Amino acid sequence: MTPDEVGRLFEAALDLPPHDRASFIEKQTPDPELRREVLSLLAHDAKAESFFDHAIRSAATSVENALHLPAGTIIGHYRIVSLLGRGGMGAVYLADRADGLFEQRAAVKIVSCGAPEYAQALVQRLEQERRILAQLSHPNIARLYDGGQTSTGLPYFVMEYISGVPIDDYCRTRNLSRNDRLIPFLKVCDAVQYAHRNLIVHRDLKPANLLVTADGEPKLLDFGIAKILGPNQADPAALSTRALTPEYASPEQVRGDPITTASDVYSLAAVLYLLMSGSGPHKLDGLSPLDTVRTIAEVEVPPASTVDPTIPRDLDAILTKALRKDPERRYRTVDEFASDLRRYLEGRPVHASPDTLLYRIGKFWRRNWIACTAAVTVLAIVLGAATAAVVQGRRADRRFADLRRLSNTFLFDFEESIRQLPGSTKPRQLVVNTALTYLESLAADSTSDPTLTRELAAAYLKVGDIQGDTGGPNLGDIAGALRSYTKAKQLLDQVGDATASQPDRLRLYATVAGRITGVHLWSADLQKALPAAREQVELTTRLLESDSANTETIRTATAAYGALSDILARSNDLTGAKDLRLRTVQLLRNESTRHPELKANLAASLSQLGTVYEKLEDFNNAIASLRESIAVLEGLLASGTPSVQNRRQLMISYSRLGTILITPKTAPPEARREAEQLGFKAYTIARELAEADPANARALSDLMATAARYAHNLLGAGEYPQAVGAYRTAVQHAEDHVRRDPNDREARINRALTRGYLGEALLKSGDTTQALAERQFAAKEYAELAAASPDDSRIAAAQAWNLEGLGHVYLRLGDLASARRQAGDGIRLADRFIAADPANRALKSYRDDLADLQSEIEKKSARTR
Amino acid sequence: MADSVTSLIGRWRDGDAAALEQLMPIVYSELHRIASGYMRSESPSHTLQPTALINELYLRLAASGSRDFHDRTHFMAIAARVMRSILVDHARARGAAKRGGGKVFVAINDELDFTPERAGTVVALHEGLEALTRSDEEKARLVELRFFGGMTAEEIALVQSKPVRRVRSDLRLALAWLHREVAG
Repeated sequence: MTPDEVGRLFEAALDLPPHDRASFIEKQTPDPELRREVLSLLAHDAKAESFFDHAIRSAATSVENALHLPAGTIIGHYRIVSLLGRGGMGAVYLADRADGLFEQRAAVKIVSCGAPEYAQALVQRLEQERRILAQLSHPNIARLYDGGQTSTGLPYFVMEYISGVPIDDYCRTRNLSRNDRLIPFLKVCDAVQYAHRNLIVHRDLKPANLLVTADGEPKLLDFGIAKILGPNQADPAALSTRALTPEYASPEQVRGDPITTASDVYSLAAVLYLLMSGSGPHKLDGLSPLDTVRTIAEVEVPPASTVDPTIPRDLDAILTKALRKDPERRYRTVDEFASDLRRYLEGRPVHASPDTLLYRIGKFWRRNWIACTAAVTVLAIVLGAATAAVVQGRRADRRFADLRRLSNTFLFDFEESIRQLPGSTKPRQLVVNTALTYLESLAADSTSDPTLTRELAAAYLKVGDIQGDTGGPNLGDIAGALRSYTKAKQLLDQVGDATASQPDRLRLYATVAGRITGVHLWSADLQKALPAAREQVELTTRLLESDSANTETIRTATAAYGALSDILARSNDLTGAKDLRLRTVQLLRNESTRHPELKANLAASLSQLGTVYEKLEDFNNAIASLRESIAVLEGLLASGTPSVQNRRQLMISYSRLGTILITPKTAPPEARREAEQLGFKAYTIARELAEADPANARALSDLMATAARYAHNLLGAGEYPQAVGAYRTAVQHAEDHVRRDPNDREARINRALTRGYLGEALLKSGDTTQALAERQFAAKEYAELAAASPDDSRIAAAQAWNLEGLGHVYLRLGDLASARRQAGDGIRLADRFIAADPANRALKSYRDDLADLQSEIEKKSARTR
Repeated sequence: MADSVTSLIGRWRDGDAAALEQLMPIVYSELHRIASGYMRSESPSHTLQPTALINELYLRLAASGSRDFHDRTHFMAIAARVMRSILVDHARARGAAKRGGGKVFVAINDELDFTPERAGTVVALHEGLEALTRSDEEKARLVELRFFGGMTAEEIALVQSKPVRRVRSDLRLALAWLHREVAG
């Protein structure tokens, strides 16, 4: 009996009426087994279709039931009362506290869409964000009580239940005057600003989320929820699943660009536009989704006075400024927006002014973001076709030269032009990879041409920069970058450029050498970095002699001095490091009067000089250097276009100055306050930069670092609960980084560090239990990291510091035996490393702290006895 | 977005397996989104119809793209697989919840719930299909397209270039075999 025989007989029998089938089969085959099989299948045939149809329908119904919970269902500590509404993401229910502990009405939002993996990711994000959101305590913000996962795996939130009406309905039904409408609106602004100060962006401000209660108090719903529900921005596939409330969404939101506090400014202004004029800023009815996106992203909002001519000019100007397409050009904060509205209410002049002609290039990019992407693709196709033609035709010299020029234009001019634009890392990679492919195929065809070899080296340099230039926006592929730089260097060695006398050639060689130093430095491989840096300094000193008037040469030289200084500092030769930095600053101070374009380099060098002074504990000089650096940068940013480099440098200088101000134990209270403000300013820049370019690995690491430093400053200022919040933010960024690359050792060290510090802040704010959990996590992590790198003194120092912290937590808990164990382990660890490196100051100071801890433990032990 | 879905379908049709992996999550979440959209707009008695959902999904994802019949049917094949996994995952999750697996926060009212037997059926059908795939992949695919993708025998015949009659009888044979496996 074969399956085919079964099939044929089954099929033939189907044509007959059921009662004739048995005799038909008997006639067809003598095989009893085949007869039995076909008859058995025929018997099942009758019921099969309806059976499966029913099965699938009821399975579908159960998916449906899962989307709608009946009254009485228990979710966490709450019992569902009724359905309040449904949205694209799920349903919201009115619920009562179910455990009878106290009476509480709540709104329960159940998120019911997405694949299990998506739901899982949501639950994780919810877990991360919930504690941060739960801290938001403001009379005009609905509280987030709780959240979790239902038994079917759906994420849910429990929020304060607000009985109220959307702000537009409220204003309309009460027939409020224009100025009276501003009263609840300004309260909303204060609430949003409060959240921004806590580093939380709403992302979905709209009338439906701005309810006004019967006594006129506005309440903001769903703070931060949109971020949890929103797509992962690094994932292009997620674009298709974005749920939007387009009327109030900012241009950057509909384009899928990163969201910042400026997006909330836009959405608030869109709501105000509605409250003032009676209609939203755009007419979107009946538009296709694509046209909706285009309208919001590209069409300027008409002045509100064109809708309602009675709207005063100042109010018009305020709305126009807050609704600008470019987030950079709106009010910088909600406070500034609200202040201008208050000035308007009081009849004073407002700060909003009509558009200027600045930022034209940014505007061009914005208008042409689709066209620019298309241009890259078209060029790639043209180049591809041209290369094939040339290679096939072998040495059609003229076309060969044309093609080379085209590749180079594409690679250098186009790449340069988009380089400083936020969000350009990925397009840059595409540009460079495309051009490189063609150059390589050309090089294979003419290996003896030195000019082409140099072009190829320059192309590899560029590729390396995008992969992992530690001094610029990059994709975090450090190993790939080193490969590309090494390839570039090999190519230049082939044509003997290391000893070239022409400045151009020497400069390219020195630049490549500098990048290699940078990669070693980034990987903390000092043994490889030191000779590379010395070679670089030697090359650039030679270059400076022959080409001192060229700003590129000056930049290359200062970069070389900087790298060597950095390496010396890390090798504890602080005086040598300081001398090199001073030399650099001196050179740049002189040259930047002639070449203002070197001002940014001066600012960077000053900031680094400050760091060396800080390490030398010469705080006055450190503070002076950083203040000078900040002044230079603020001047640059005020006068020119906001470049990513300069903003990042300002971020670094703010952050360092903040830390130095509170380092001396005698720092006065005003220094501590200034430090806190500087920390926040630095974090704000980091956040803007990271959100503007989510693919940029360095931006993520900056975000974590500035959040941690901000938290340090708060801790130093004695603001313990706020420090806990800021450390949680830092931890979250560190966790993001580890998730992105679980094998990245630096990321894991940062996570352990931030969680250890969080433990510190928790202990100081009195939450000993959670402090213990954080310190224990960090201890476990350090143990693993130390096992993998047993000779790394940096990890040993962090581990010793954490053991001391953990010991303190046990001491507070009264667990003296555990405390003693931590202190003992820490001292043994520190001693082992101090024996190998007696100059290690960090470890020595942690050892002292551990010894102090030991004596405290013994004192307490003596008292209890 | 519509373009990228259409081109992903094209790439998958041309044998690029990676395209399917990119397509699946998009289809999965869109399908869920439409399902909840249905719940919002339709009357309470409305039953979620896999076939209607998949049709709407196609219109939505590939609307401005190709009207090519082959693209559509290939898309249906993907959607059928996704629908199958949605239903099966859901039934399994519910089964696990009933057995007390996982974190239990919710005690669902049993009255409105589907019974465990029925929930078992779709899982059993899925497992039967897995078994059929091992012995006769072609027939297993027919069942998937017909039941989870909502395609008619005529549509399947057209896309697979087979006589409708052949498709019909193969389907019936496969279903009979499955029914015997699943319902005994």
